[in-house]
Amino acid sequence: METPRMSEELRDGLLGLVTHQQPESDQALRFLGRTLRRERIETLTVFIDRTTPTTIYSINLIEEAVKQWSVENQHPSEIVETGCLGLISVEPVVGIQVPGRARLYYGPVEPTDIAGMLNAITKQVVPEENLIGQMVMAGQQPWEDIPDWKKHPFFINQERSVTSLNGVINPCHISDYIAWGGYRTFYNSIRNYSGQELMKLIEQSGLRGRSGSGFLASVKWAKAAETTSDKRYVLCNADESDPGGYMHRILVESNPHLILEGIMLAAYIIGANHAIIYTRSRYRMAVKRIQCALSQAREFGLIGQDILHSGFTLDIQLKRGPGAFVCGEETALISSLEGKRGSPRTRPPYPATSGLFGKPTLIHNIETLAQVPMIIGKGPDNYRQLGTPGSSGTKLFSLSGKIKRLGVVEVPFGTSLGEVINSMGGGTRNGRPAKAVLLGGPSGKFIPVSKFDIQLDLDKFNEENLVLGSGSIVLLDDESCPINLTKNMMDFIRQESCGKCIPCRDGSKRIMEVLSLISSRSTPENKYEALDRFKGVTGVLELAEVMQSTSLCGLGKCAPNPLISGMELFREELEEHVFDRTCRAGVCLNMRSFLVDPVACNGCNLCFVKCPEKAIIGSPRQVHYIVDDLCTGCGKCFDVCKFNAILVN
Amino acid sequence: MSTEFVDLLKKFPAGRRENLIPILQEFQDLHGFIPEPAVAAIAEYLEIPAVKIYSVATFYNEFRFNAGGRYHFQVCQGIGCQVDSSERIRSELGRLLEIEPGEITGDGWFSLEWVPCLGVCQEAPVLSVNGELYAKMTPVRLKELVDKFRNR
Amino acid sequence: MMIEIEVNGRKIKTQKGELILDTLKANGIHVPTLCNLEGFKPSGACRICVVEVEGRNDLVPSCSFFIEESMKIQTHSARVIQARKTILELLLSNHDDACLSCDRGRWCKLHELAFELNVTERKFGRTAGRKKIDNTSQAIIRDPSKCILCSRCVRVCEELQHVAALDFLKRGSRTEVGTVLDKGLNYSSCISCGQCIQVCPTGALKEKSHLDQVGALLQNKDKVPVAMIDPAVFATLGEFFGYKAGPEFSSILINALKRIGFQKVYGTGWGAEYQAGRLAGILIDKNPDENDTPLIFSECPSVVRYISQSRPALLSRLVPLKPANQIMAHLLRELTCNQTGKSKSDVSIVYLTSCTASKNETTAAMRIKGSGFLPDFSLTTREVYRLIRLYGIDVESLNPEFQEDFFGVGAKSGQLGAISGGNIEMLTRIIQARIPEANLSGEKAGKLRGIKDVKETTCEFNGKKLTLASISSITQFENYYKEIRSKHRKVDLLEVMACQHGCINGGGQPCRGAERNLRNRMKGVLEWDDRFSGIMTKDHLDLPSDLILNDEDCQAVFSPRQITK
Repeated sequence: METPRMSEELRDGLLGLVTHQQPESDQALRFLGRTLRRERIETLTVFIDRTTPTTIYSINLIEEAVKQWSVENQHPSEIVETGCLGLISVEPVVGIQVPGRARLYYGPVEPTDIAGMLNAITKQVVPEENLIGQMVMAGQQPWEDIPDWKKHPFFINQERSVTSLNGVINPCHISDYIAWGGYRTFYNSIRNYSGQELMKLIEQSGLRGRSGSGFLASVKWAKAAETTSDKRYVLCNADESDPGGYMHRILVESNPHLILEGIMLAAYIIGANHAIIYTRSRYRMAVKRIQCALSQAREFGLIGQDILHSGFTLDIQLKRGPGAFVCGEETALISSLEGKRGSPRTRPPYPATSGLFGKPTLIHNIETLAQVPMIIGKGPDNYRQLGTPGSSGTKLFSLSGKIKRLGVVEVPFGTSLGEVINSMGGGTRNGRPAKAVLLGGPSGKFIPVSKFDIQLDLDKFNEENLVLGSGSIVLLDDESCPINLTKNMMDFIRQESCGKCIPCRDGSKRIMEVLSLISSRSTPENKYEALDRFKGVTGVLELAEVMQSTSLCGLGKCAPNPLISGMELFREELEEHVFDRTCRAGVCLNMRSFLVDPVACNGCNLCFVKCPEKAIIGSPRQVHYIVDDLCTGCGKCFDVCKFNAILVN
Repeated sequence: MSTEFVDLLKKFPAGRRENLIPILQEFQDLHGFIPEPAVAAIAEYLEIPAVKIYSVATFYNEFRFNAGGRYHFQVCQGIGCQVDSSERIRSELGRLLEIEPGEITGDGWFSLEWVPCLGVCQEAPVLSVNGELYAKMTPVRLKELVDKFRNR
Repeated sequence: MMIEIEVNGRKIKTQKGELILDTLKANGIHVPTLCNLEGFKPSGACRICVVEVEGRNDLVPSCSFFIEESMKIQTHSARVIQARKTILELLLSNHDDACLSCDRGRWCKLHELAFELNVTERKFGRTAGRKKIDNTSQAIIRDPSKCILCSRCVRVCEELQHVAALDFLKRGSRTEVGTVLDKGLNYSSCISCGQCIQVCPTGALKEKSHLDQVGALLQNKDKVPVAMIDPAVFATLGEFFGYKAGPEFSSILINALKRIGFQKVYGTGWGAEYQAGRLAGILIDKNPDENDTPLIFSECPSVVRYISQSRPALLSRLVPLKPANQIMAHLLRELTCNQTGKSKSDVSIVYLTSCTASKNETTAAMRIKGSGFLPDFSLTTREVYRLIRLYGIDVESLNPEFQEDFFGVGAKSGQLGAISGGNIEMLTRIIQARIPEANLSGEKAGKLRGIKDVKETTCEFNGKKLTLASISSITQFENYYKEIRSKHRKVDLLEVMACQHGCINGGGQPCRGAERNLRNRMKGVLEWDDRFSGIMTKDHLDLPSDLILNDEDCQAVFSPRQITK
């Protein structure tokens, strides 16, 4: 990951690519661009996805295998690190390209597969196992009968604009980004346009914040630019901490320079000379990639004094967030940057007028800032062609839960939820019936299958009183328990609340307790528990309502969303939990009851030994029996039984 | 003030509160926790009351004041893992180690923490021990894992 | 800009940009508050003060939300009341139930709110276990189970007192108020001023009680209990019984204490005046060009503690004089021994004061035998009230009685020590008396009086001009000190008191109604002063030969306390 020093020659070439009016007309630049884009390669090149989702796999072994193959076959090869295509359910993804031919993407790839694949491809044969598709670039000969990677059901209906280079370029090299036309918009802007002129473009584009509230960006921008001050800041919130979402992390790990360009443009437009990227310390890969991108941009002269002789000065710093969900809230983020507890404060004043150190501050998340180069580069009209009249452009969604194809998708606003789930995500993982979707993480709402035709659009969602949130989609099938998920979400809020205002701090705790009581087995010695349980259930909605209306910040205001929507949608399941004390999905711990299948049980005695409650009686080679009164439902017997003799009731 | 503290603090300008978190991060990276005497040293250097430093440090997940266990378990709390019943992993781990998140076992071997999404949702539920990821955990595999560490 | 808004259907004229709460208050509409603290920036944490604003989905906190044009506010709609009630129920679910044995008793704000909002049952089961009580400090005890995290103590400690011993720790439902590294108040930067007790809405903060020990003392026939009353107690205690502050109630109090069993009852005024006299001596001899930093004079143990902890460089600037109460304790012990023939250890001095920090400076706290300069026990005003109630004294039926004659003369201006600026006023009177040609401006009711944080005056004599200043609250001290240093102003003597406006606002005073009663207390002190106007002459300050205080006794007295960090 270390930055290789750039040769003078390359530097000049890249400068040409950035500053030349039409680099394609210059032969040398065109040649350089093609080389850097790897349209034209000399040797076999293997592209290995190295992002957080692949950290769990033995990526190094794949690399080793390539090198070993190279030595053994005396075939030179090059290994290129890339970002993530977005389809993380087939990680690790590996791209293989031989000179003159299109690039082939495979996934999942085992280190042991490598030799065979390389053998075949160098002999111009395409192994079709685990193939995602081919990526054809200019001047390359496509492989016959091999589908384009964009024809893959996961990608076919995506509109990849901010993610267009994800998984294609090497995120650790500024040259890759520049070769694909990066920083040209920025250069053009600071040389030829004033901030006000560009501000018009943002206004015309109808850009809206991608963080959930969908606030019109141009309003914030104009406020920040208008407020008189000696200093202004641009803050890039890369502290994605929604437990269900990972699209921002994938984006920044796959194409950090895009974010930088967005920040630079925003800073230029509002007249800020300081920008800060705030990302979570624990996202090691993202931190490294941003650090690397920053040092390259600095070396290249894109950050610093008098950038590319334009007179514009900008300093971008990376600050590592020490980990708090609430720091996604803008005022809490500012507190954190000022070295304080990340507690939100009451607004107004909004950060755009009084933010970091009391100066006008423009805060956006990664995704919003990533839109900026595109808007300015291609023009607002072009930008508005995607999406709906109210919400222009595209939106990233991360798919997780019981979905077949996990990953990050980029679709225009207005795409239906069902399309994302069923055609891109491929439906549920095991083909079981889907139950609902939790959209928006811990502050989101459940959307039932019957509403899957809803368009993913900010206005539409507002109308329907739903939450688009940051765009995390979690699919539940009939084996998932919404009550349990809601409880876990509330537990998350309980831990992550800043602890300042009472409704959020104590309300989340109480709701969590009520839900825990509902979703756990009653113990006979606790007489009042049943009463508490009913009292809790009857009061919980009221409490949720108060929490919504009185909490200080968005975190607390949205926290009861899963609960309220869940109680409405899954009334029946809830009642089963409360009255019948069962969880039909079999998820709620301790609510399951177990019994021994007398036919399958061969009396191995293992469950008897393992039962922590001594609730199983039986002697070796005899059918065992579970005493229901003693059983706490821990499920240990179920887990240890090798003969499937323990049945869940 | 020990020289080690001075060296570390000197990297940052004195009296500027906004450097508090970066300084704490340096200490955390260096030691794996924040040594108690460091609190007074930072307070003096940044000219803010010591309790503010403790208050900020306890607010964020990243900082701790005791060394973690020899094996530091981090269980992913992402929704992906939750849907794939990471709750069972969490409760089982709590039972196996007999500690709550944020605590450390009496013998100093194990410590437990719940962390936000580790980013490998396709392999849920996951947990990480000293930075190494373990995927598709089940209570049984968990027991084996803990036993493996115990017998080391 | 005056605008018209609508509150509960009634039109109200108000200022745009004012806080909703202020407007409501000015128009006689009561909205309950909990975390709101007058004179401080609103925190918006408790949400008890929410009101409904037409056109908004959520309820807004009136303490931190500004009036906008044509606003329509509902302060007591069903939704608002329900929200307030639920919030309070949430608080109660985390609160310790031990109301019957709580020190705060009927002065508990939470209790009052629960009554006001008609909370009649525990809606949410109490799951939080009892938390560990912090009794490391000899002055202040903190019970986190009663804490409702309103942040009032935190704000006062930081913003008013510049001490920041307390702050929020952790987050989420584990949030708590605590000290650095959770080590307890004694190991923190706490100066025991007790201002946190004053603002605490519940009984989470209280003084370390000496009531039991004093009770035992009063029953012990072998001991001679002697009470020594701080002027601030005289000025305040009447509030509990509906008496106006001033000399009248003071004499009743003396009678009450005698009935309780104190053999002798004295005021500490004599000591204050005696020390002021010694200070005058120091000042008269002072070379005006000697040093640009001011001499710091403080009778206040909190200030001394603050300086020795946080500003050790200023320790050498402290006037080396023992605080008046210690001089008094010493003299009273000697005197009582002479009069009763008992041994020193059988004479117990009980200091009745408004100060919580003086608990630190008792033989009880230091766990030493009573013989030296320290009083044996210290009771706060609140404790004195409870003592009177405990002994069933019917205050209304008591006749006035005067304090013991102290060497033939009562204190004259000594009462002034209870208000900030009082010591300086005393001092100027003494200088004036000793050097008749001294030109003292601002004497009496002038610059040294009133509710001000900084009071300054000058005096000229023997060809030198001295600037004397009086500051109350540590933040003001820090600001003032910074200011005079940066502007190179020459201030010769700086009197510092930790509690705002002096001892009459001390940490041991009644917890409620301080804002309302502060002026009355001040008036009471000044009225007393008017009655005995003047100062003791030099002769009065002469002690009987067997009670002579040598210089060593009076000086080097600010033995900085052992402070464990």
